[in-house]
Amino acid sequence: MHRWTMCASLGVAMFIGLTGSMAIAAEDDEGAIKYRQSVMKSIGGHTGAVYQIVKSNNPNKSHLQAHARALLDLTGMISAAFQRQTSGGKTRAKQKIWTDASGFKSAVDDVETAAREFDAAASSGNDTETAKKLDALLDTCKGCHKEYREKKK
Amino acid sequence: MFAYSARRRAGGGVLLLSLMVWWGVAVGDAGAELQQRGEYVFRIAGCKGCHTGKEEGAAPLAGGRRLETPLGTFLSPNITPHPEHGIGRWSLGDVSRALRSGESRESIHLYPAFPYTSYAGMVDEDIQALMAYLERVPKADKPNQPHELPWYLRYRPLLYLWKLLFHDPEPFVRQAEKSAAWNRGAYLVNVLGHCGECHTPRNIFGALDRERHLGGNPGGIEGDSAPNITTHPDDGIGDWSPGEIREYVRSGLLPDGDVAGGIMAEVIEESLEYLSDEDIDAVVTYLRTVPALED
Repeated sequence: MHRWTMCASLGVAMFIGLTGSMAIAAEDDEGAIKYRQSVMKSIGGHTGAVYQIVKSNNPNKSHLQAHARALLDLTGMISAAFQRQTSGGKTRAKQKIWTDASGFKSAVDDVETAAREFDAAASSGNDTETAKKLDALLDTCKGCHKEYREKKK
Repeated sequence: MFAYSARRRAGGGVLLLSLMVWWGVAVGDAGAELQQRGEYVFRIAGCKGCHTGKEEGAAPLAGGRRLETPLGTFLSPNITPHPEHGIGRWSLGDVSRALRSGESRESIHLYPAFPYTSYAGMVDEDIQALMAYLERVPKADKPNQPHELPWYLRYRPLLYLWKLLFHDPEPFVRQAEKSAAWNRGAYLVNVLGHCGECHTPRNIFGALDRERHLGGNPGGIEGDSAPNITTHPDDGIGDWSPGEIREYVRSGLLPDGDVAGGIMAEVIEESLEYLSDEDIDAVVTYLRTVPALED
């Protein structure tokens, strides 16, 4: 094989490898963003349903425990879902999530604790306690969104 | 005779002492009531959020909070009773003038980042109560910092012209044909709570576009856009039930299960959470009548 042919082949191979790996990296960021957004939307879906049951007299009270358990499971996924630091992309996640990792961890711990206490209250059947623990859970959501999420543009 | 006079004197002394005790208790009760009302006004007017720095351990009301707006960055002043750096030497009249006319004790025109365009409607009793509360907060020995504005906005006398054009220091006017709850709600939303300062768009001079009252402001403060909260069913909150509005004001929970963040989360935590149930109902009553505007 001629020397120039070998050089050209090597160049093409490097170009394909480089662009390919960039594409994979971009896809990973995009996938990570979509995954964590799905987790957060799921949390929002259950929270909206819980509000209707606990505070708006929706008759599906028998669903409450399932929603509470789902919230407990889903809030336990937040840390892992935000593990990958992304930059750019269609996201409202602030870089502070990763630059202030200990603060974010503490905020997520608060959410998990509040979700656990809400789950326990929902299981107890005590309506007053359930409403109180829902308020406490919402406070932790707000605390995290205030510091680590950009407002909608 | 002597015994009779002594009894009269003793009787008079007891009466005088009783009157003094009664007067002291009455004044004390009135003072405590005024301060309690003042604390409520202070909360709902959102003084703490803007007048306290965001850094860890910042002294409450000592100022220094950076308010980033499209026109520049304003640094809030110290409003503790510190005589030099705060408002310790301000009289009730000075505070009233600042709240209503946007002028400091030294007759300096204040930038409308301080929302006197809304506070102008405050009733005398609320200003007096607020003053009674502020007089008793701990003094902070922290000097004020200059605003960070482009050169053409630093010339304060121009604010006189701005006020002539855009500021109407009229007191809040009750609408007789509306309910007491509606009027209270209008006062809380438009005056004390100054919701329009973020939720109403501004013109190129930074003045509120009153024709688009609460119609949403894409260029809010600190980079936060403020949504349309008129009764428009798609762009505003017209499709929210009274219970959903009440819940959002109280906890920040949106009807779709999302929870408020950014400045609004702060406003809820520092201010709206303190609204009495009756006042939340009043806010809901008023908001459900705000004319619908498209985005």
